[in-house]
Amino acid sequence: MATVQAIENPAPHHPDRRGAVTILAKVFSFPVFMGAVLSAGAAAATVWNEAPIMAGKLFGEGDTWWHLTYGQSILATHTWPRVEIYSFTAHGVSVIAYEWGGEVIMALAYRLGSLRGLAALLVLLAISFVLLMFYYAWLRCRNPLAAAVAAAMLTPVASACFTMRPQLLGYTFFLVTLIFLERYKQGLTKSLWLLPLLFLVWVNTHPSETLGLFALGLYWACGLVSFKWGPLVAERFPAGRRRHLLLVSLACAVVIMVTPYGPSLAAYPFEFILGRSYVTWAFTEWGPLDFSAPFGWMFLAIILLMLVSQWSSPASFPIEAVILLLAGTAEASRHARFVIFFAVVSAPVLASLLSKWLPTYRPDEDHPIANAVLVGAVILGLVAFFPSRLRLQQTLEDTFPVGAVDYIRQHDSLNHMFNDETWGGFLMLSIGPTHQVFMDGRDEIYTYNGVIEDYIRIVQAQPGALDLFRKYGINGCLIRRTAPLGKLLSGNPEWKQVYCDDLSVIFDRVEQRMK
Amino acid sequence: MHHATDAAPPGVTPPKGGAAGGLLGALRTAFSFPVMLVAWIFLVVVRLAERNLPDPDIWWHLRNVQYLFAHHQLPNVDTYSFTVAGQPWMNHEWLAEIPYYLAWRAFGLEGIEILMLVLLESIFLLLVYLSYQRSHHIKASILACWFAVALGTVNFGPRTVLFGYLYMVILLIILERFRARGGAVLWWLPPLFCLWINTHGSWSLGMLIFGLFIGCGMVQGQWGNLVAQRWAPQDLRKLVIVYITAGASLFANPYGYKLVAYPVIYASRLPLNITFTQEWITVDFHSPRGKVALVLLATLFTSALVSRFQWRLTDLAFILFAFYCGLTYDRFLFLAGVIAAPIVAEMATFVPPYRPEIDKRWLNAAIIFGILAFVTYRFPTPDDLEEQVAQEYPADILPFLKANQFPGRTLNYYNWGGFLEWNAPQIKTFVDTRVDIFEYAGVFGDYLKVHALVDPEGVLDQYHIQYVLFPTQEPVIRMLEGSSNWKPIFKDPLTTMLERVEPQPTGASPQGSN
Repeated sequence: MATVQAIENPAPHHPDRRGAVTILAKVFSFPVFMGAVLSAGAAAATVWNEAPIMAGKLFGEGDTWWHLTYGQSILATHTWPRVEIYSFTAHGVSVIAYEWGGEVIMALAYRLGSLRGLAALLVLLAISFVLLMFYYAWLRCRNPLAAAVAAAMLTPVASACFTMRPQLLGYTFFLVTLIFLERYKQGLTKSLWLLPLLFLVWVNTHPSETLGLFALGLYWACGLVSFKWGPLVAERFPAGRRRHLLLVSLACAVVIMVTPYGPSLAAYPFEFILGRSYVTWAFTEWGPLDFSAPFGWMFLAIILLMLVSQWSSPASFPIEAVILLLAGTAEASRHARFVIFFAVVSAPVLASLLSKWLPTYRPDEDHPIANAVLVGAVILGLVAFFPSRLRLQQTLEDTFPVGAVDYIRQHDSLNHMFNDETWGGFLMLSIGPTHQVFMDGRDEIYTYNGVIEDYIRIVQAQPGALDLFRKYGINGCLIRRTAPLGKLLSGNPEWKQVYCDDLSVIFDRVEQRMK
Repeated sequence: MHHATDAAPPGVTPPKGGAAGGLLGALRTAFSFPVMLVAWIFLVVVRLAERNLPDPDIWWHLRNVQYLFAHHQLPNVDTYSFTVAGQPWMNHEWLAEIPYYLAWRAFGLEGIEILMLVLLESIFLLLVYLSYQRSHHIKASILACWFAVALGTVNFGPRTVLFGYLYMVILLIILERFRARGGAVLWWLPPLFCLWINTHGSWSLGMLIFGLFIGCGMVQGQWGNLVAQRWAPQDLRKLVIVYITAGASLFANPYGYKLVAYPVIYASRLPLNITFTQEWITVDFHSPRGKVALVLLATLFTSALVSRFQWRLTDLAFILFAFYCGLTYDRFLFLAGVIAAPIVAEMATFVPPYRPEIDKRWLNAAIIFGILAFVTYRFPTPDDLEEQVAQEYPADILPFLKANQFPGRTLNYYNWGGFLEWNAPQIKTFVDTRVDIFEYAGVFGDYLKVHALVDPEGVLDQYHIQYVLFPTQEPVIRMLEGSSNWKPIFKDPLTTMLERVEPQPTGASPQGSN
């Protein structure tokens, strides 16, 4: 309290001191403290079950490694991949590194700090995402506590996507876009001209820029009309502002053509959506949300909470916020990977509903010293709990087939191997392209030639699975030790187990060798 | 709480000149537009359900009643399998099995099909009635019922749970009638619950709904669009007494307190069943049913925002409960549909009301007769039903099983256990879909080790399995066919039976005996 008094009644002979104290009071204000707590939560949300360490989710995603492979290739060759060289099943087909910007950032982080560099990047991105979500929620409700509680509730939901992939950058850009649009609605219009620049970076980082274009179009369309329908509100923009928004939107639509691949990169999301039939059911994140999983349960609880809150104490919402929320809910329900989209668009709505129940921030009652101590504790905690190089390496070995890769390196004959899809990226990074993979997480290059379909037949040991080995001329097989396919191969005289550790097993085709 | 008086139904505009009486009036009602709409529901339910006869549970249900009629007592221990033979087992759905068995005795598979359709149609007809009771708007009621039909498809089949949902609708009708008019109607609930507990474990959901109904009337107030009205003291007293009586009536069953505790034990002690059984998975929003659930959710969302619809606290509690259950477990979407229908009907009163004066009864009659003729013409023959069964169950192997002796133990496919127990009782099964008894004993876990090829040889040796009877397409068949220790003794496109050719391992302790 003494500090607060000092802020309110500064010594008359020290004007500089007054300014410094005011700045410090702002720096260590309650909202900043809430931001620090959310940062700690975001860092904690990067912990993976199989690797209970901060940034452990680095190992929860097989795609991380092929993104890194592409990033390293671009840094090394100063060219963008255009032809597939890492797999033998899609060898020579045209490829687009549609997330090359994010991949280069990942490669730079890896170059700077190896696994620790990647871990730091993941934690940094998660923290940035959560803090932006907090700010976006605050912009709408102007209640830091409500915004922080909303962000805290949504962090577990969004954390399902806190993996080391460029998509986390993409959704961070989406948040920035929504923040610019919200500020624009509130009269801060000039900063909107930064959006074309953002879109230029975004389209070269992750294909989610389509969501940004959708948001721009939605805000523009909702600004054409003015009405109040129950709690739904639309406010017509003055003609000049409408024109401004339209020009910015058009500029954004134009700059997304500026990529190493021209307009093909911008067209990628649409091509993917049209040709994704196999992907939707073959891969979990494109499947529907699992409501019995923790983040699914949280998602359901938040929706029900918003419904109850709105019924019991109706609040007004801009029409565009409601449309975004409905779209986010529908997409997240249909595709688990979009829970992060839901988290972004529901943050301001949830915060607005919560702000009716939670007290507003009163700077005069703040405790900057206590806040400073707690912020410092959070920062120290983040540093102290950051995993060591050894710990990360050990987790990598527990999760990916490091030992098997060493074996393959010593046996050049294993050059046409079937592999577990989630390990494909790791193999690309470790021994590609000299040892080409059967399949990895780049779904798009395996969709059109039927490789995904064949992969599923093989891993599920469906009829004709072994015939498919012959079709592809496969002479080895790297799979998980517990995979059903292993049982099928171990009972087959054509196959011989040549390597086994706690995680993986390699089978060699005897018939091929004898020839 | 004051009982509402039944106001003039806003969903129906009475015809000018008053209603016609007698036979003509009955005919006018029978061939009215609402009846024609209900006939469409009837048709769609028949079409959606007619291919669902081969439910894996129905066979052991029939066997249970066969045992009951032969021995005049319920089976208290397992006698069908060799893995859990002699272990205590509670037939918690015994009363629902009897009508299915009697239907089968009377008309064979057609009897089971007819009973299933009668149950389904009764549920949805009563649901239309319940929705109308709430909304007084027949078109809105039928619209809401379409949602319920779409969500209910998850349980379309000859299943005992249909009795449970029938009782659920009756419970809701009684509660709604009590809320609107009071009176003695509540006293139907103790016998209903007594019937329910002997029929299906869903009585626990009924008690929960009844409890929520009472609990939400303990407070009074209005919060935005949410309204709660406190019970009048005499009503509350009556509700509590009936609740306690209904609770006491649950103990009137052949297994006493054990059957009352069964739903809790089922939910807490069967993790494998919850994880691996198809009907316990979460809702798939890519499926048509999932999309309907999503539309219903979006409707509620939108109504929360734009509608001035006044929500009763009871409705809110019901709908939250129903959606939590329905979205978490696909099988509870039926429950979600049943509970949501009357509320959706009340919200959908923006639909233009039915106007009898512009009704074209000759057209309605033609459509109704057309639907009835179509259903009768397309009703599956016994051969059709046998074919349905043969497409999913190993019907073609039955003569082979009857003609030969199989001295060793047989590992069977999970979904085929009941079918074998009913059609080839001389074969003692490894597992069937009475998952509780098998999971308690660890047998279901061992079965999954074989099915998922985690440790098939270990389990086959542990149980001294001599024969394996599985679908031809299953990976375990291909694995064993590749081994020199097993040879096929029967094979068709659906079914493969393998026999062990090596001597059985010794030393492992088998469970039960064949």
